[in-house]
Amino acid sequence: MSVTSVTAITVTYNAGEFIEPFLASIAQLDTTGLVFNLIAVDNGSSDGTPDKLRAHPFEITVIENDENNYARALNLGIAASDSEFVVIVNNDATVDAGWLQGFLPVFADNPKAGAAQSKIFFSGQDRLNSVGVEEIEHYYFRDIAFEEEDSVRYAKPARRDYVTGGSLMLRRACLEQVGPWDEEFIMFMEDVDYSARCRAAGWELWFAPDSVLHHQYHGSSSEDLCEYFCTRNRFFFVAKHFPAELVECIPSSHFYKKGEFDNLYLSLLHAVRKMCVHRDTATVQATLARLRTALPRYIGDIASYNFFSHLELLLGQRRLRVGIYDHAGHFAGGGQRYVAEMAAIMQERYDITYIFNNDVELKDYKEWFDIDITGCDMKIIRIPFFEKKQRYTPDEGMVLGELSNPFDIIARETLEYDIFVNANMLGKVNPLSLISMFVCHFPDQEKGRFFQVDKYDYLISNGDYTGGWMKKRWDLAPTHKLYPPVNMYNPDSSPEAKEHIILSVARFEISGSKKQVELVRTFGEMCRDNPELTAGWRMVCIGGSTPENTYLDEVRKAAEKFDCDIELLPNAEVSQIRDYYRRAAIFWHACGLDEERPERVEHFGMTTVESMQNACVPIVIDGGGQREIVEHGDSGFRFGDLEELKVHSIAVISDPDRRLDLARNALERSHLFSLEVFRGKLESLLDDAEAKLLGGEVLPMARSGD
Amino acid sequence: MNKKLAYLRDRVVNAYWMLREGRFHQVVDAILVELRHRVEAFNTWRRTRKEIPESKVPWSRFVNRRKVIPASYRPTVARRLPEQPLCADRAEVTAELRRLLTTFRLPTGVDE
Repeated sequence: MSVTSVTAITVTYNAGEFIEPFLASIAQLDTTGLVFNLIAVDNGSSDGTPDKLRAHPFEITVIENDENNYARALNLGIAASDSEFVVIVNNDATVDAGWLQGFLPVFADNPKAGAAQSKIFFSGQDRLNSVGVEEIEHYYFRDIAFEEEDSVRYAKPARRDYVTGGSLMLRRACLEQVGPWDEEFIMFMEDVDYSARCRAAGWELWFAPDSVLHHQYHGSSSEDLCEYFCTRNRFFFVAKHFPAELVECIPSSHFYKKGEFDNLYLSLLHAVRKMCVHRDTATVQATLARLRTALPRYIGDIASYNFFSHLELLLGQRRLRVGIYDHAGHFAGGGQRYVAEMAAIMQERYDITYIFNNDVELKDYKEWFDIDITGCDMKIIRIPFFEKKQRYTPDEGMVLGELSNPFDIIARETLEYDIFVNANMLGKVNPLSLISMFVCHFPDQEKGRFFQVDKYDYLISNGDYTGGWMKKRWDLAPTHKLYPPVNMYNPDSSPEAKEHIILSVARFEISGSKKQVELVRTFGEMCRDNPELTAGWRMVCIGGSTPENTYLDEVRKAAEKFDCDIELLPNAEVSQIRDYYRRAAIFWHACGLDEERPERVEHFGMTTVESMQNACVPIVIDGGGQREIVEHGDSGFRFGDLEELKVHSIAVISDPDRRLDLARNALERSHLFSLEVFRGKLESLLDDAEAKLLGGEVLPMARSGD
Repeated sequence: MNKKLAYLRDRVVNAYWMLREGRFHQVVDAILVELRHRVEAFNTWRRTRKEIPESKVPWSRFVNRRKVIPASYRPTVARRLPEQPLCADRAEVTAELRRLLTTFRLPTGVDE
């Protein structure tokens, strides 16, 4: 008598409640004349299933899959086996003693039999679950004899077009010829696909009535999961095997019927990509032409346009295209610098086009911020609405009662890109690109007419302060927080080598929002009231200024009232600013003091970080973004009013050891806002966006406690 | 109530400066803009109430249906796929895709 080798492969996922009865039934199997072994492939259970299996008295080979993917688990199990036959079997089931032997006559009698499935009953019932699989209509499939009572009709072996993977024996020769299971199916319908592939390779599929299994229907997966994958995988199956029918499958799909257009779009997209993998050029071209005609009926013109553009990207024939829109890109502001840093990083991996509304040159950014973005392209799109009104910079606040959105011209442009970045928070631009990002420095505008921010895939805030106001004003939570990158490190700066200088770096705004007058007065009063302590200390105010700046005169007058050393340096050179950061022991910042309107409070505070990167001790306003930067009493101090500013400053001045500790902590803290951290976070965000654009899907691995 | 008061205050301040600088036509323009805004808001409300088909809403062709309708339950996460060899000719399929993209007639975004 010859010995037949059989390996059973079962895929586990949090199988705690099913596995014991299953293994007990396996242990009772009749294995006369067989060499039998069991492989369990675990899909990342969080309930300790692999350990339970290893500890089980029945000898089980346990393999741990690195992703939660049923089809991949089967491939891992098959690759680990070398037996003549392989049985794949669900473990939310129990088997009869003759389950294994029951398959063998079918293979013995039919040399072309590549696979045979068991007679599957519902667990604890006399009713059948499956004796094979058949197509009903529109490529929907059902189990043959589902919920029927067993009868003589299902007593003999029979050929089948499709078989279920719930309990299926396969011949090694068939497995080798047909190849691995399609892992992109993840779960559900992977058996229907494999059936079609077996038959296409010339193998027969059989029903083996003497092999009996009792199945707990859908015992190990949820209904939502089942419906999602069955609908998605139906498109995959049809695209691979019946491409001419793909278009007809759209209206009958659950995704379309239930209005789940996002799922419809993505499933169809990857189905067509799979068609390109498996079918010839003529078939693909014919299907594309049919999709071009039909798709707009189902998902609209815009999404259809995106579909074909997206497919072009998926086929890898071009680099990702990114459009960055900055309606105020012709000014040198903090927001522009922030986005230019983004563009400088992104230009290494994508084709970038900067979109402006006014004349500007990309080389200006090198001059303004020392950032080279000349690897980007540039486009100037004038907006007729603002041109007519002779407004140099578009202001969305002017769009009130218009019948159409003046920014639709930009919306149209967004279609040309895979990723669109709305860099300067213009909230009325409708993003039509595949992926969209909205960078918010502060939500200046209330939600109003043509508000589009809720349509963006990524909402990026520059900190918690901005993020909090996005929630309050727009009821939208940021998806990502990306602190502005600050790079003012000076290798010569040291906490130990500081001079008695209090530094303020802020623009001399005509509105006085940066509060230099208040700071100068506070310093003057501090020197007047504490002459011995403040002897040798001086104050330096640096900041940009426009010509004939009346506010600067006001600051000057305030300084002249006190007999102390106060120096004002409007429009200082960058080298001079760097030098003062290196020398100053203390940094003051008061933007937002006594302000009620949140937009007038410093949203982030880049100069505070610059000072910390040079080991200054920051004493800053307790509000806005400063709260995120300076940890009170640890890496500096925050004040609520000018009296507190004095108290904290005197404390720092009078205790050099404390000052040294604070400066060291400030330097340490400043790394959180460095260019390297910004780059790392941005790259991780871009990886996520790329995965969405170019990716397939995978079920998330379970975490302990899920 | 505060918002309404702030709105009224802004309007009064605007009117004051426009009158002070003799730009009377801007006062009229502002009133007309406000009036159009109200009328449009009313019309939008009326349209929504009647639930007329989406295709008849102005600029409906700019509605990206895929994104307007919230994504439904999808239990998966995205990951980068390795590039696969194609049975179809990559260049020919791409050329066909580019040709198909040129056949779309999309609005320009400018009132014509």
